[in-house]
Amino acid sequence: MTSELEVNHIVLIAISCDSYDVLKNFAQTHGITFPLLSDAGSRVMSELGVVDRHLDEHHVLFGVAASTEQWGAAYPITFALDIDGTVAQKGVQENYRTQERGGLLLDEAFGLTMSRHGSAQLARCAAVELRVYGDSDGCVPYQKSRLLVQVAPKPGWQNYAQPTPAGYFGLTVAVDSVSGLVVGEPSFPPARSSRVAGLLATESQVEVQHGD
Amino acid sequence: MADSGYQYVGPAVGEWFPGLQFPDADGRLVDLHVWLRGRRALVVFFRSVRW
Repeated sequence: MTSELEVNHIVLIAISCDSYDVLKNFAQTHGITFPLLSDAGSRVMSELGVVDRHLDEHHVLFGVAASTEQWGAAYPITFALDIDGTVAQKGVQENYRTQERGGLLLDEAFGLTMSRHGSAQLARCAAVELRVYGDSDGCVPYQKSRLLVQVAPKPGWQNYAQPTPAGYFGLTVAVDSVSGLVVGEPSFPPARSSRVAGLLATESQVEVQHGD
Repeated sequence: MADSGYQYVGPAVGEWFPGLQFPDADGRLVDLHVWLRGRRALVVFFRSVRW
């Protein structure tokens, strides 16, 4: 991940309420080269409004009680900053157990697609070619991953978005249930309204999907 | 992006991220934006290195 950031000239910074010495030792021990910044006392995090005020509730999920030394920790939140210092995107998790992959945030913030991903599965039919791959090589418990479906219509075919005119079928995605896997709702690229003269019984607008 | 119900936490998308000050490796306070020098960044808040 860090090499991906370097290639795209994106700086990675991590902040916690640990002391400077604790972070310095941790970085040296584990060979961490990106900045680990100390906000001991949570002054900055309080000003930002990111101190976790629901710590007890989150710990209930884990079946343990929060200790006093844990107060002052921030929500598990990540900000993607653009070159002008504004927030391009941010991701906040319910708790520290469920994590999202950083590549998803970078994709949504800067339109970057990480070069590393799972092996792709290919399929084709008369109308489209499909390429399906995960955003990682495997699944990790409690980690959110994304399954990407690339749909390439063959010449003369289009992907219609909902709502579709009578007699036409919009693109849908269904995932078979897998034990231990929670499947979210699919998201689709934006659609543009198009008028296909003479093709439909009535010259109504249809929603056609474009892009990735 | 993650729909955790806590999207109201911290600066919103489109807002300018505050110029936070942190000590560098030598203990000197550095302004975040001065240090970034116009580069894009991921600012990750994490729980602790001791948990």
